[in-house]
Order: sequence, then C-alpha cells, then structure tokens
Amino acid sequence: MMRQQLQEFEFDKSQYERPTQKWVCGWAAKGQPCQIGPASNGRCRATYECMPIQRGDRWHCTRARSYGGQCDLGPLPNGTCCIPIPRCQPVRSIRAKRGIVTLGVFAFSFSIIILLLGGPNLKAWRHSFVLPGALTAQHAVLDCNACHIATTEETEPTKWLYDAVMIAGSGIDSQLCLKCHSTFGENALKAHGLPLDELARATERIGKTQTESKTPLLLSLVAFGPGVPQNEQGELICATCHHEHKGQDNNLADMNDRQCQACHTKKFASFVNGHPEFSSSYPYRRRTRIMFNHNAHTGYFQQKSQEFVCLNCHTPDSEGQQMLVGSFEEKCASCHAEQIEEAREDVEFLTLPVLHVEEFNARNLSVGEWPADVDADEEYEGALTPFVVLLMSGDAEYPNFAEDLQVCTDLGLFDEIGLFDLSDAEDDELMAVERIAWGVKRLLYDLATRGHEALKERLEKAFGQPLDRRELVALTGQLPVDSARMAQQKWMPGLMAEIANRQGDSQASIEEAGLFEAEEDDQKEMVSTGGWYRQDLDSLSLRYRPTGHADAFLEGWLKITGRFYGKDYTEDIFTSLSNAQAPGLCAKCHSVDADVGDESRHINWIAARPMPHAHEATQFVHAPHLVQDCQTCHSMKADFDNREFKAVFEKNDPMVFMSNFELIEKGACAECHTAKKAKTNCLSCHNYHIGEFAMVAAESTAEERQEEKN
Amino acid sequence: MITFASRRRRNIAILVLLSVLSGIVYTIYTLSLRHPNFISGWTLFLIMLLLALYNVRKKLPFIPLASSSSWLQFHIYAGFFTSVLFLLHIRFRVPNGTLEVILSILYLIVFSSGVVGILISRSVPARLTTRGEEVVFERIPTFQRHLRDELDQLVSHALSEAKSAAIADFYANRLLLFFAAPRNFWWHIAQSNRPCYALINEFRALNRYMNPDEQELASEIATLITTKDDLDYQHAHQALLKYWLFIHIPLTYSLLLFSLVHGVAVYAFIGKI
Repeated sequence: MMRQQLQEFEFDKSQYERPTQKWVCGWAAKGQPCQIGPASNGRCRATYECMPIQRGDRWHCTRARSYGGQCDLGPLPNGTCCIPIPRCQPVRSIRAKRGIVTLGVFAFSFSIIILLLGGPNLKAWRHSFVLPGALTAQHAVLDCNACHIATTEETEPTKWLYDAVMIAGSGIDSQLCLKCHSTFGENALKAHGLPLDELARATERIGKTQTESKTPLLLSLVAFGPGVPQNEQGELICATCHHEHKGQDNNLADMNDRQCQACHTKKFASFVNGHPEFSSSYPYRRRTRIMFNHNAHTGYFQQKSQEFVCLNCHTPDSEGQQMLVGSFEEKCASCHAEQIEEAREDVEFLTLPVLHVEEFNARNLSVGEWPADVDADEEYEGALTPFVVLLMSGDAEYPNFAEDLQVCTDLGLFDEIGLFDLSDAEDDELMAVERIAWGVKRLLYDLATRGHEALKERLEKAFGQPLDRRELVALTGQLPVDSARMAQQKWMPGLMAEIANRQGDSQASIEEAGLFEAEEDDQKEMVSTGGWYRQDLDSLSLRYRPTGHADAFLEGWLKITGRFYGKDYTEDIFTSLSNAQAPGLCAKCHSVDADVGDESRHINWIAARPMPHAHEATQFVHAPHLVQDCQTCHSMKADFDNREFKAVFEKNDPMVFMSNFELIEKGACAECHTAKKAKTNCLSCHNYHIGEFAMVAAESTAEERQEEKN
Repeated sequence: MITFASRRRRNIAILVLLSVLSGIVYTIYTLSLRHPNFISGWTLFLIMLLLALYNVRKKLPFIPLASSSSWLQFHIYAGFFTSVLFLLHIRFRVPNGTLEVILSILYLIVFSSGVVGILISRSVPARLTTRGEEVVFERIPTFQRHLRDELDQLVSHALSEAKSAAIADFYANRLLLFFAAPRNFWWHIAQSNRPCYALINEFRALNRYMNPDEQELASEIATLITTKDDLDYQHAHQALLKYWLFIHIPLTYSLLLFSLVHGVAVYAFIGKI
C-alpha cells in the first residue's frame, strides 16, 4: 500500500525551518511546533494560534493553512483568537547545543590547565604536567631546576611565559649542565671541547686528506639548510646533541653518522667509502712507556725454546678496551729479577772527598780532623757525590756554597784525582776548599746528631718547597742514624767537639761530645737484602744498597730529581740514577720522558694503563677483536735494528718512537668493518668530547671535589 | 569547469608534494643538528588555526572569503597534511610526557573524527536516497507525530470495529514504544532492516486471529511501521551528519589551547647557550 508523501514543500503547507537559530520551540520534539517560535533569548512567545484581523465590524481568523487554516469557532468578540497556544519551554537547537558543548570542553580544558599550572601548592603536578618524558637513569634524581632556569622562580607559570616570549634562545640552560659537568673545561660548549684555533688546525689537517667518494646526496642537502646552530663564539648548546626526556633507557650520547658529519667539512658515505686514511703513525701516538723490544725478545724466547705469545703478557682491561701489560713479578721477574740482582750497583750517597790536608796546614788554614785515608792516598776514590752536593746546597749556614763549589770544581774536585794536590791553588781558592770541607763535616755532623730531620731541612731548602712524609721516607731510604753516627765515630771521632767549638759552645759541651766508638768492619755484607751501610775500605762513604725491583729509595730520588731536573745539583743525581747501567737498572726498561713545557723528566714506572677520565678523539676496543690472531693487525717488522730501537729510547722525546710493529692502515679495518659485517658508525671508534674529564653525577659531588682540590 | 576527479587528483598531488617537501626540510634540519620540531610545530599549529577558522567562516557567510566549497577542500587536504606534520613532529615515536600525550590524543581524536566526518559526508547522502523519503531533519519529529496520530486512529478504529483485542494488545505492547521516538539507530547505520522485519513479522503472525476487516487495518498499520522505520533510517543518518561535529569541533579548540601551553613550555624550557 502506497503512502502519501510525508513532506510537502508548498509555501502554505510547509514550515520555514531555521536550524541556525539558538532556540527551537519546546513542542517541536513532540511534533507540534508553534508557528511563532521562541525569542532569540530563549523565551516562549506563544500566545494564540493566530492574530485575527478586523474587516469592518467583524474579526476574522488568520490561522495559516499549514496549521489547519481558519478555525471553526473564529475569533472572540474582543478580537482575540479563540485557541491559545500552551506555553512551552523552548529548547536549544542542535547548533546551539554544539556551541555549548564546545564552550564546555574548552572551559574544562582551560580549567585543567589553570589548575595544573596556577595552583599555589601544585608544583609537583605542574612539573609532571609539562614534563615531556622520563629522564634518563643518570638524571632521574635531579629536580627540574637543576637544568632549567624556568623553574627556579616561585612564580613559575608567569616566569615560563616571560622566558618563552622574552628570552627564548638566549638563556643559560647549558651553563646549568656545566655546573655538574664542570670537568669539561672552559671550551666545554665548543665543538669537541677544543679551542677554535685547535679545531681549525684539525679541520685543515683532515681537509688535506684525500677521500675517494663524493658527498652523499642526503648530506649535500645540508648545504641548503640553516647550518649548525652555534653562537658567535662557536659554542653549541648541550641539547644540540643530547636529547633528554626520552625515557630511562634513552642513550643521551647516541648520534647517527649523518649528524656527526653535519659539521665536518669532509662528508663521506661510510667508513669503507670515503673515511680519511689513518694518520701516518697510527696506532702509535707515543712510544711505549716500557722499553720492551719485541723483536729482541722473540729471539730470547726462541733461545729458551719458549713460545713468545702475545696474550701471555697482554690482557684486556675490565672495559675490554686497552691491552694491559702484566706486572714485573708476573711477566718479567722470571728472567729479569736475577739480572737486576746480579747488576745491583750500590748508590754512593755520602763520600768524604780527597783533600790535600798538609797544604791547609802549611798555609795556616785548617779543615780540622780529616781521616788519614782520605788525606793522601792516591788510590782513594772519594769525591763529592751528587747527593752530598745537593744536601750541602740546602745548608742554611752555607750561603756561598755555589761559589765555593765552582772554585773546587775548577780545582778538579770532580776529576779523577780530585783535590789530592792543592799546592798550586791560590789562597782564596784554598779557603773555598776549606769551607767546602767544613760543609761536608757539618753535613756528617747533622746526620749523626739530627738524622732525618736534618735531611728534611736540607732537602726542602735545596728543592725550595716542602716535602710530604711519603716523599721524605723514599728520599731518606730510612737511613739508620746509627750508621751516620758510626761513620762519624769511625771517620772523625772528634767531629762533635770540633763543630761545638766552631759554634762557640761551652767547654763542657765540647768534652761531652765524644760519643761512639767506630766499628772496624765494613757493613756491606750486613745489608744483603738492601739498605744502608758504611764503606771504609775504598772510600769513607755511606752507601745504599737497592732492595731489588721497584726500590722505593731509587724511585723516590728519580721522581723528585726528575721533577726538579734542571734545578741546581738535581740533574746529576737524576742522570747518575737513570742511565742504563745505574744502580737498580731502572732505566733499562723504564723509559724517561722529557716533559713538554719545562725541563722536568718523568720516568714511566708503569706501562700504559686505562685512563678513565681520558677521552681521546679515537678509541679502540680490543676485546671484540681478540677472536682474531693478534698478528692480523700487529704484524712484526721483518728487518728491525735493535740498536736503533735502543738509541731512540735514549732520546727523551716520547713522541719519537720506532715500533717493533708495522703501522695499521684503514684497509686492515675496512676488511671487516663494512655495512654487512662489523659496525661502521662513527661513535664505534670516535669520541665527541675530547680531553681529560670525569663524568660527574651530581652537583654536590662537584662541590666536594672542589673542596678537596682546595 | 574542473571536474571532481581532476580536482581530487590536483589536491592529492599538492598534498604529496607538500609532504615530500616537509620530509626534506625535516631531514635538512635534523642533519643540521637543529630541532625540526620547531618548524614542524609552528607549521602544524598555524595550519590547525586555519582549519579551525573554517567554522568561523561558516558563521560569516556574508564576507567574500572564497566559497565554502573551497574552504572545505582546503580543510580536508590541509587536515591530511597535518597528519604528516604531526608524525614528523613526534618523530614517529609515541610521546610519553603528560602534556604531550594529552596533545597527541586530542590530535588523534580530532583528526580521526575529521576523517570519519569526510566518510560520513561522502557516504550518507547516497544512503539517504536508498530508503524512505528524504526529509528535513528538523521536521522529523513532526512527521513522527503525524505517523503516531495515524496509528492511534487506526488502532482506535480497530478497537471499535473488531471483536478481538489482538491489534490493541500489540499496539500497547510493541507499537506504542516503537512510534514514540526514533528507534534502532545503529541498525540503521549498519543498513539493516532486521528489527523492522522482525516487528512486522511478529505483527503479521497475529493475522490468524483477525477477521478480514482487522487484517485490512493491520495491513495499513504495517505500512505505517515501514514508513516509521524509513523515517528512523533518515533520522539516524542525518543525525550522524550532524553529531560527528560534536566531537570534532569542541576538541579542536581544546587542541589549540593545549598546543599554546605546549608552545610556551617548549620555549620556556628550550636549551640555551
């Protein structure tokens, strides 16, 4: 059964709809909207179904045809429609409802924002609201204001707005990073932490290297970009590379190769294709600290029918990065301990020099009591040792020591026969020798009466700075005072009285000053494991016998005289102890470096060790490579001149070096480090931050360190 | 005159071109160690602002600012372009900050509701022509009232003429509720007639208890049921056309508000030298 159409569009049968109006009739939902409709403010305007009109003296109904046309009853006599429309409660149109929902949602959002940002006691909420993600584990304990200046004020939200509008891009957040990471130094924000001139030199050097590949297309696009963001001083913000708030496990140091190359003038496709060749000395930046000739040792091991295996001596460090050398006791002692023992020369510490005593007497001068052996024996070998010279230079009562020593040196003090014959010396020269002699006697007197305290005073004066206890223990070699007293009793029994007399002491004090009887025997054999003894046979001397490898006395003297190398009288001590045949044979293996910038010398007591705070531009991790034979990369040179190797080490420049091994070229690495095999990314081998610095976790730690430093 | 197909091709080509261009700019900025998020964020915000202005434009039809059709085309394709910018802005990662998550959820709702809106506005008009009479949405209550009145008359007539109360009982139990308001919204959206068929079949099952007069009345009532169901179909689809904007528009303004806060926070906390 067909129905009639629901909707008609004739003007008198169809109501005009106004969906954009805010209000609709309340009866519309029941299908009976009134014709008038509500007012714009939502008030019902319903009155009657029509407004009758008067024609002559009669009122006529004007109800619209769409509402049924004229009614049967017609208007009331007073001209009012007879059908009042019941008033309704107008309802909002769909559009108006949507507007209200929109306003409501907007107001709700705004309230949430105000609540979270503006609440007086909601700092934690506020911070967690704008926190763009979890911090890495290293930074997780930090407050926002540790890194952001925007959170340092109480009025934070307004401060944020001010910062955002007024100083965005010119603040000091990176400086806050450096409050903890203070060890990066003054160039921390510059590329690679290098001064601009050094960076320019490195850029120029690398720029000269030849690359085979063209710049990849993607990297070429960088030329069209705005460039790397840096200020006029060439500084970059930390956040350029380190993106925080990416989660606990985010690697802050992660960079891809293309980002690395954003700054680099030489852009290349990959390690295999375009990476510059290694430097002409790679992998050696300096000579080895231990003078170990692998070539020669290959022969030694063959002679003993032993296998010369790299990993017997070298083991990777805990990080797997550096190959360490085992200790002397573990790796070297089996052959070299005995060698050192056999070649254990004694250190002549204090020796009485040869003196022509008769000449003094002939010219009415006096050196007082002087041992007869030292007086006129041509075979006697005594001369001032470098130690005595240094200790005399620290004699507070002997200000003109240097001038007198020069006079004595000119007279032949340090020549073969010493001051055996002074008959040709001028009077003033002889007086200088006399003062030197009394200086020696005063030294012996000090040692015998005050022991180590006297040594300390003289050494500190000689070096011009205080010595700490550990240094003093090493430098004295724990000299037994008894040895000094015995030496004095044996050599100069009347020394105490003589010195007291010269100092103007009372007669009683002078008489009391004869203390000990001298021992007759030489003491060398009594210190077979090392230590001090008195020598009375070939010379009258106090001697020190090294204990063996790593002797603290020798190490102490080499360290401090190396530090003061170039200073008066210290050079001789260092030289006498650091030559290859010196007592202890230290310098046979431990190389000597002339430090850059001053005259000091540095003995390399230990082989290269990992330096946890050192971050070099290039790093190599050995551990993953140990699956290969060491010779794959470190091939020993076929023709090697051992003498030249030794000669090179005798020069004190650590940068001059002749390795037993061939250099390593890029091609050797590129065999494995390809896109389909081992890693080729920049950060596998390179560090961005170059220099020596510790990674500091918290500000308090930095302050504590500063306090310690102070 | 440009056809719909060629206009779509042109607009898609522009969209693809802008997307590729954005990708290139993003890559250049990333390779230059700059934060491409600033440029993507600002672009995204400004485009969203323009998209929001479409609603304002609709309220100001008297201002000669291009046709509403042009605005709609811009709104649709610029809306799709924002999705590209959004993905670049979040670096294809799921954000994990509170504000960022709120922003992302708001964006995704606004964007997806926009996409649903396009699908609705493309599919519903065609659907409206397939069933019943296309009526003005605001008039549907009136027509519903008319149908209910007709039903009441028929049932009254049946009560006075018929000997049984089958029709009256069915009216009281089922039809009264069915005619009272629009029914079966989601069935209509799914374009299923099942509820209507079930009702009519249930009603026709009463025929065995009716005399011929009652059966004639029942036939008319069945026609009314079908007409009411068609009206409900129209109501459901036209309501869909109107009510999806209840999600799209309010959340747009929330999105813009939270974007502003996000921008302030970003510039306040930006890393500096």
